[in-house]
Amino acid sequence: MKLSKLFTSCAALILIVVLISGCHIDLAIKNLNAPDRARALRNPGDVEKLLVSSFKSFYYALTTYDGAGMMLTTMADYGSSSWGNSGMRDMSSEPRVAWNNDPSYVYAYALKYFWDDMYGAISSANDMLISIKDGMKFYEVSSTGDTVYNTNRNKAWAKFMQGIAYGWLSLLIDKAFLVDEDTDLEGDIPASGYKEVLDFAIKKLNDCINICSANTFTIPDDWAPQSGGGHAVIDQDRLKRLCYSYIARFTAAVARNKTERDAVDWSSVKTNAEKGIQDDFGVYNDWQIWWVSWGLQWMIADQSWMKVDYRLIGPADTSGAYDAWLATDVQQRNVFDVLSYDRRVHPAGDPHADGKYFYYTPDVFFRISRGTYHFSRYNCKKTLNVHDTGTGWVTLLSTRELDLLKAEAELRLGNAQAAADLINKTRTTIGELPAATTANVGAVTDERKWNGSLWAMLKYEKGMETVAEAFGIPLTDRRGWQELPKGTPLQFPIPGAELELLMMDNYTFGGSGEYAAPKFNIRRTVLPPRQ
Amino acid sequence: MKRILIALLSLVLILIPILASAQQRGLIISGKVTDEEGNPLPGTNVTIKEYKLGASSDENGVYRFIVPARFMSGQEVELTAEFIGYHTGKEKIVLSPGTITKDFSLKQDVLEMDAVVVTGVTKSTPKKLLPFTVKRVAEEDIQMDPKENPIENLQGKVAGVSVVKGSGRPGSGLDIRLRGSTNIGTGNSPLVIVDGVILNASQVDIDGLDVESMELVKGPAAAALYGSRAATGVINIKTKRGSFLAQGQTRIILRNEYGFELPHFKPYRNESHQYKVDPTGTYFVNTNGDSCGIEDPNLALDDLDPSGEGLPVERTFIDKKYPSSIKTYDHLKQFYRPGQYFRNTVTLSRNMPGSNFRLSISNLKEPGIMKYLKGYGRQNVRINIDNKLRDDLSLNVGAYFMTSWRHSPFGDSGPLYDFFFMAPYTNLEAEDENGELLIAPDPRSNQENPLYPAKYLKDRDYRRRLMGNFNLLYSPTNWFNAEISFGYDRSSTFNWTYYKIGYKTMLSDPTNFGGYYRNHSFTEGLNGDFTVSFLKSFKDLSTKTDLHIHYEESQYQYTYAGGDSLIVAGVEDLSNVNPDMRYVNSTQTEVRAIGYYASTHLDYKEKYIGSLLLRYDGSSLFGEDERYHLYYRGSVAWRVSEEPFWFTDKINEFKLRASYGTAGSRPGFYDQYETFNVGGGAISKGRLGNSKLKPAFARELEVGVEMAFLDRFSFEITYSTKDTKDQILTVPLAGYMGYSNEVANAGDLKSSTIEAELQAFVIQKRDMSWSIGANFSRIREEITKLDRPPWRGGALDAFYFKEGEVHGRMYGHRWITKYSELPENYNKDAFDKNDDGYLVPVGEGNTWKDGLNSDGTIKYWGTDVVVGKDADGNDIELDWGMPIKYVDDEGSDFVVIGNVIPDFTVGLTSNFRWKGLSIYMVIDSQIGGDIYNETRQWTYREYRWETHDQRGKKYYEKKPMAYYDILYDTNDVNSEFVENGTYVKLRELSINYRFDKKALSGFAGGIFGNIFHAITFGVRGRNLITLTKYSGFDPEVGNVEQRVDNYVYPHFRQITGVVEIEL
Repeated sequence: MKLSKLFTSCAALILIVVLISGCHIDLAIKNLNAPDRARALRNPGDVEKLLVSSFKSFYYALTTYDGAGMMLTTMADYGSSSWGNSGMRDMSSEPRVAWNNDPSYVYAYALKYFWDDMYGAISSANDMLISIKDGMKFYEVSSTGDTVYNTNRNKAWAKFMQGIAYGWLSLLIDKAFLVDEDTDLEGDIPASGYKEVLDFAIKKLNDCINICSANTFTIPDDWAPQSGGGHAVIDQDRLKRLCYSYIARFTAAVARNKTERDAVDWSSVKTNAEKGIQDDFGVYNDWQIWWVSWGLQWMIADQSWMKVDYRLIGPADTSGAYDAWLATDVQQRNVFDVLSYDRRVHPAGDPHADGKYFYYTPDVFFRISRGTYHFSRYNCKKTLNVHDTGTGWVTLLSTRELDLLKAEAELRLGNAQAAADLINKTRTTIGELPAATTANVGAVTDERKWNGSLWAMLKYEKGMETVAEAFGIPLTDRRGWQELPKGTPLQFPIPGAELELLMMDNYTFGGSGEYAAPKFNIRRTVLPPRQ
Repeated sequence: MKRILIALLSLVLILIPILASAQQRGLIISGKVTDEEGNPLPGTNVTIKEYKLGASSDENGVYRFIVPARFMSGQEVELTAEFIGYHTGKEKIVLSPGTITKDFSLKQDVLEMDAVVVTGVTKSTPKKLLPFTVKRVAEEDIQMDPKENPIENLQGKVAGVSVVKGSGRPGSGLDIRLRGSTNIGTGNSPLVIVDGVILNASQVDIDGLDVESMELVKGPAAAALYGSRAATGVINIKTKRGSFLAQGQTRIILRNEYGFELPHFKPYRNESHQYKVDPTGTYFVNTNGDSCGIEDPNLALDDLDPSGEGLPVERTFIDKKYPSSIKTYDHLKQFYRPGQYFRNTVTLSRNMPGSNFRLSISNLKEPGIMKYLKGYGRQNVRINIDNKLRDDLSLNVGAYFMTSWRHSPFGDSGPLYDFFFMAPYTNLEAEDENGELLIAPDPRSNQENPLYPAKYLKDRDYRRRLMGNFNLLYSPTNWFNAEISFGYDRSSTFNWTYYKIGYKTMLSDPTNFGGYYRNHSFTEGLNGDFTVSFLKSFKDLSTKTDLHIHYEESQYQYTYAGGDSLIVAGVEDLSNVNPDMRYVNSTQTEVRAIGYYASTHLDYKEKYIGSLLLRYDGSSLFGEDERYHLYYRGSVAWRVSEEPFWFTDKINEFKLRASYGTAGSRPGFYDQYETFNVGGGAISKGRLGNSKLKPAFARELEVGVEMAFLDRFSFEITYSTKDTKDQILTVPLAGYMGYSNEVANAGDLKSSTIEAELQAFVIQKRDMSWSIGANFSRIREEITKLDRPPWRGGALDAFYFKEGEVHGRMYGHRWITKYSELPENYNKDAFDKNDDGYLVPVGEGNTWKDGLNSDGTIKYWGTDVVVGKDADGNDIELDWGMPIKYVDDEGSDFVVIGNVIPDFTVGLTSNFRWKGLSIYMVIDSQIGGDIYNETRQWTYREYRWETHDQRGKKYYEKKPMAYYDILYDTNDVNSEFVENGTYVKLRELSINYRFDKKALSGFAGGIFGNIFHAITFGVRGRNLITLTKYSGFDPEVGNVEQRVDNYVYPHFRQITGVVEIEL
């Protein structure tokens, strides 16, 4: 009996040993939900899909709730909101305050998101270009059985993405890291000033232009949906025009102040703008793949979130209420009705009826104590459809903006009539206002007004045509025209969290003085070395 | 896994035939087991442990079993009698053919020194021989008021255990943490095991009525046995079995509980307004001076000095009664209603020689207190079967099936967000011309009617849970046994949400065109264990050694489909969704882990105790270069009171113990992988992979003293210090990398805990007993190292994670309360502390009471005060009477504003019994520890909190609207809303009267006695009384680590009656 028990026990022990040594448990489990780098960059089709995300990332950086779009709009006093969300209130409060670049700032995400998403766009474009450098071929078989090579198309789009992303970084941030397909990411990457960043962006856009000039192709519509909005698909010619348009825009908009804007090479701006787009560029939101929930285009159409600032719509007023508003101490300003000849504001005879671009929304839900200067009775209709349905066209760069950029160039180059003609393209047709003339050219510092000097009318027109469309451009225009309230940051620093990560000193801009960059106290945190 | 299963099955098949043998003539052992007063103890297990032979006593305390002849060689063995709550009885007998009669008279073990625990130890071990802490919560502490979720039964009962039920919503889970935090980023929930089944989904599905006991292993010093998943501790739940009945006994129990769920909070509401009213007090007045209603957009504020320079809100006070034309409503009555709770259970149990079973079927409905919401319902069945297949082979199996539903249009939070914005004049039940509730009943607000989604948004959660366990124990010799066990847990959830066409929202929304969404997930987990144990005594040295293999795997699948814009009204089908508006999503994950361990327990004369453990553990969740890791534990204890030199018999037990152990925490499934996000026809860079990701490694030292004295008291104090290195954290990457972050081991967290428990058996008589338990905990935590930049995170981003920081501190803006906090260039004499405790600018020679004149006219409110000069020599002006933000020496206004960690917690239990009457009570308290009351903060935006109501205040106490706007601070986290979370709560009160068979026989000629075994009538009260200064509905909000009250479903009072019939 005992032997039997012993035998049994020994048998059991042997089995244990067998179990331990014989059963190899495979603990390597594949993540089926998302591809890794090897899988994502192995197939040409997947690398192309990565490139699709590049433009998405760029689009979201400017327009979504988390991005900088809402804050930039209130800073520029085109939109008005005293809700704290996304820095809307802080950055439009008067007196103006400096951008709080402490990573712990509750709205730090607005700048960080912009930065990260622009670099997300750049990184995905770089991956495409690296794949091409490594010899990856991109082609497809057409319906007729022919092999269509897409390598140049992809290269051109990737260069375009590098160009517009770096372009935007140069407009808003004082420095950036220049990283492209030739950069060793493990190496030391210095921060470059915004003028160098602009040069880098323009170089990439010129690279794109060169590819477009030597090749024919069509960018798939789902890479940047155009046709849903009734706009032409992007072929090599349109892409080339887009590059010229962006070069023109960036060249003018990069100026941090009036001095810099005055010094812009306006001949170059004019030349590039003339070679620019002949059809609006934007994104058709389908609510499924391309959508912007709670983005800027949504907010400025929604009366409970954001209003149209009187500094934008007020210059259309003929009643004198806007002048009275301006003459009132900022903290005492309050709502008034705009009486205008501009049919973008309201139709003839009914100041409370919907205009072509704006509509009357008398209820104001903002808090009085946050400043009644934020109050307004108007919202913008341009993106109301996107607001209501989640679908619709959102303009990123319009021919109207380009015309008005050309008009500024013409004005600065002394061609007032040409400028007036360009201004009248929208002023008389959409606004149904009397044509602008060269009777009083005025100066860049003239206050924008529907019937002021030519400069005043240009600025007025640019405001009407870029609100809720050219995200961020209102701010760059107004800083270059010296229109912003004193203390408004003229540019942003590299986000504090990024500085902290890279062990760089924190800094910021704005808040006091004549467009100064005052001292800003931020705790320095020294990051221990990575292990 | 298949190979493991085949191998284990082979083992079973091989062993069974080898061991087959016939029984021959044996020894009959019988006797009677009674307590000290001669009362029979049915269900006592009388065994010869080394041969696994024995039986349980019947209703008369009589036991009888046969020892087969093959076990007999005339040797002396020990016969033991074990009954829960009594000291183990031991008798020596000699095994030889024939009969033996041995009676036992067991002495009550009030101090539970002989109570056996099985969690974290080598085989089952009496508490007195434990060298570390294993807390056992006995059946009595659970079944006096069995909760829907047994984890809730731990509240207030165990030292070092923090349990927070952050939402009162029926069917909500609990956040539980054992001792201090282990992880910063991966959660601190302990591993939960039910009858050997490792839970892979929520504990909320387990029925408290089924639970026999719970054992808690609080940290690595004890939990090392569970390896890479046990750094946060282990809760081992054991469900009831038929073995607790007397031999041959069958028991049917019908239990019905019925009662009410009642809102018990007061309305924290501002009942006044700030507008101009006409002289008759009938109407409002607008800016044109005309009488008007509340809806007039030009309603005029009652500005006390319209010609003043400041904003009108600086001179307007919310102190007017609503005009007589305005009707006001009681929103509590409109939004809440009592709910009718019921819970029905049928239990069938039987204990037969060699086998027993218990079957329970339960039905629960908990409607909660919110109008239109149907609450939570659950039906569950559990069956446990034990079978002694042979003398040396026993099989235990169990199965549990549960199905539940929950009506949840708001989730855990949400409803109170809109609720608190509603002004008193708002009729939540107002309807439009179609008889539908108004979405915007308040014309002056952009907030939605909270009743609207409650009534019209269809949203249900369904859960199914299937668990099974299997345990086969083979004991061929008295020194060796082998055990195979499996646990299976499958949980599936299904949620659907339906918006009808025309569903209203305040803002335009795609759901206005209708919407239908369905998601389905299931989690399936399997764990298997194979253990061989060696038990050997060498004279006075007893040893127990286990060799163990553990395997587990789990899978998770999630599918989502849905879309906005329905084609046809009233059709709840995905095909009814506009094809252009459909979207789908899915996720699937799999986890595997294997562990090998060896442990040994030694005790010399039950006086010197030692324990050693080594575990080698691997998990697929770690990076490919870091799959396997080693964990260990070493423990010693010295029962000083067993020494010959022990000086007093007044102290029955005095034990010193120390244990040091390690255990791990695992990362999430995705953390090791490099990921590119797929969606919307594109892929984008997500997270950078980390092949070196390893477990967070916790090391804990635990030392303690246990003592029992005067046969009535037990006391235990334990100090634990835990250092968890290699925290699993998200580490951001430079933007140009393209990947936003990676998950890495990047920090250390240290926590220390002091726990003490006192148990006093005040009265111990035959007809009367009264025991009181008290527990105390004090926890401290600190982030000692961080290999990534600090970050703001947690609820509301109110927590700042950085090196050297106290874990649990809240950060935000703080209002100046001390003169020393004023900037140096401020004239201190220009400030005064107001009745809210804030230092406010009032001007030299003035006080905070000077804002208004005694006739109610403006004196200083709305004016500016010069408080000093800036660096350029300009005057610094501040608003009169308004709080000022504190800026620290470094120029930052982001400063410490509170700490959620309590100073200490105390729990008290009382169990009184007199004949058939029993009264059970649990009092739970937290002393210190802050709560962030975001619910209150949101109301400041619309001036809806009672604080804003200035009516009835003395003229100098009144504050203008702007004062509260400043404190609202654009909803930034700030010190105004940090409140002391101290509370004392009568958590449970249960009063029962049990008529046993004898008592029932006294009625109606004994008919009841013939039919029923017992009948119990009871009354239960939960959440009856809470003493606190916290201004919210209930201080039990948020989770253990982040006590943020963000308008969740409030806790409510529950009062029920119970009838339990035993047949």
